[in-house]
Amino acid sequence: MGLGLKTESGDFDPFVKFDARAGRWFRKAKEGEGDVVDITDNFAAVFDLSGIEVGWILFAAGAGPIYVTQPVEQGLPPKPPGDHKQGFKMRIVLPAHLGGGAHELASTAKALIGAIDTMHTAYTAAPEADQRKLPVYKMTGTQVIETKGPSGTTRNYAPKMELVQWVDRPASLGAVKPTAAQPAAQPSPASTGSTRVDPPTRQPTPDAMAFG
Amino acid sequence: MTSAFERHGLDHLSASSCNLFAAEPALWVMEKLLGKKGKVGAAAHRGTSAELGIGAGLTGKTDDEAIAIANTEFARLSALTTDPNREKEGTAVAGIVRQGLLALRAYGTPSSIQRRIEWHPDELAVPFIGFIDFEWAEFGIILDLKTQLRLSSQIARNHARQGALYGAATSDNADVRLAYVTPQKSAIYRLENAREHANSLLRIAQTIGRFLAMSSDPQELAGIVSPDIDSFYWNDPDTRRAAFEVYGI
Repeated sequence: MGLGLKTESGDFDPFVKFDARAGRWFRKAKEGEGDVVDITDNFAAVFDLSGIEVGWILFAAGAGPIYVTQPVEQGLPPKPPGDHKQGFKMRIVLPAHLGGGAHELASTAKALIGAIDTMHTAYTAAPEADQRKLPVYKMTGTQVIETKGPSGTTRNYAPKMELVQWVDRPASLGAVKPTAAQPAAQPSPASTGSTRVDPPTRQPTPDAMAFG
Repeated sequence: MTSAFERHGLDHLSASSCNLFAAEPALWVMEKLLGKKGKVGAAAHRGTSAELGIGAGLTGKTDDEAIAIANTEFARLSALTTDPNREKEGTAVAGIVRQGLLALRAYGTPSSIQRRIEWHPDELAVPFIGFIDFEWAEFGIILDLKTQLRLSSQIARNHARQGALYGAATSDNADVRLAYVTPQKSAIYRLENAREHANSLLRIAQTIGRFLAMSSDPQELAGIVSPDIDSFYWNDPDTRRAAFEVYGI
């Protein structure tokens, strides 16, 4: 619809989040693990950059995130009223030693957006992307980003991500969702013809003779 | 059991009839069901005349003789027309004949001109009937001539359906071509996806059938369509007047 609002319901992936103030990765805890689990050490994941969405996100305390996003190929949707911040949403798959399985990664943190932007740019230029493969990135460290503002200097950490390998799309991600760049096959009107043709040669072909 | 077509006195359909229904159903109702036919414009006379001249040129006449035949025909057909474009269209005839012959003489003498065809799809209660402008059977070539004042860069969709009908009625192997000819130049395009365009024509015909099945009363059917009076279809003053009588618009 024109508002670009997502209204679908269904199963939700557990989340992975990057805390830019601490430079650490966390995932939602499974039963018996407490609240969240720190997965920073040896962090690596398959990043589904083919399905990344960009837009506006509201992380409100005590409530689930509110997304107004659309596939990156369609650009940034109009900003909704309220305190939404520019961000992205995508899916990643963790290796078994970090808990395994598909997770949702969404953030409005500039420190992480910058890293994801770099990864996406590399992804779109890579021939492996044309083969429907996805990149595995690992975090090799963090970079301090200091921002001076009216209330003083804030310090955030951007992850340093390094491409490890390309893999086939994990089954846990399911099929590729159609996007503007990869539209689903739709029936379309047949072309009529705009190719100019020459007069026939004087020797009829056998096929042309099969007439009637 | 009579079909919806027969109840309205229609024993066949043509490509032009289906194309008209698709483009301006109110005019289709007026002409085909209510019998109020508008006058043929000078552009149509230009096409008919040029086609006659080109046919003559392809069967033995010189260019000048073919042009003379076409001009005479145009003068005859348009003798009583009040179309303000009469002079402009008449002037175009000679150039169209010359350009048409320039493009088509290399095809040789046609094996037939204005050959009548019928197509009987199982899904339709009445057949399609049409006339192929030119045919070179030894090459499997069917050609429909379209005269214009500005050259088309591709086959128009309604022309594609017409050409597809000729192909469907003749052979799966038919090489259907559309020749667009202006007084200055010409282009001959090969029809692509003929089967799809024939299916489109059939779907329009089936739509007409469903439309006709809604009522046996033409006036009642006229009451559920409305003319786009700004369309060129209603340019002729008599046709425009008839539209006001029928539709009150």
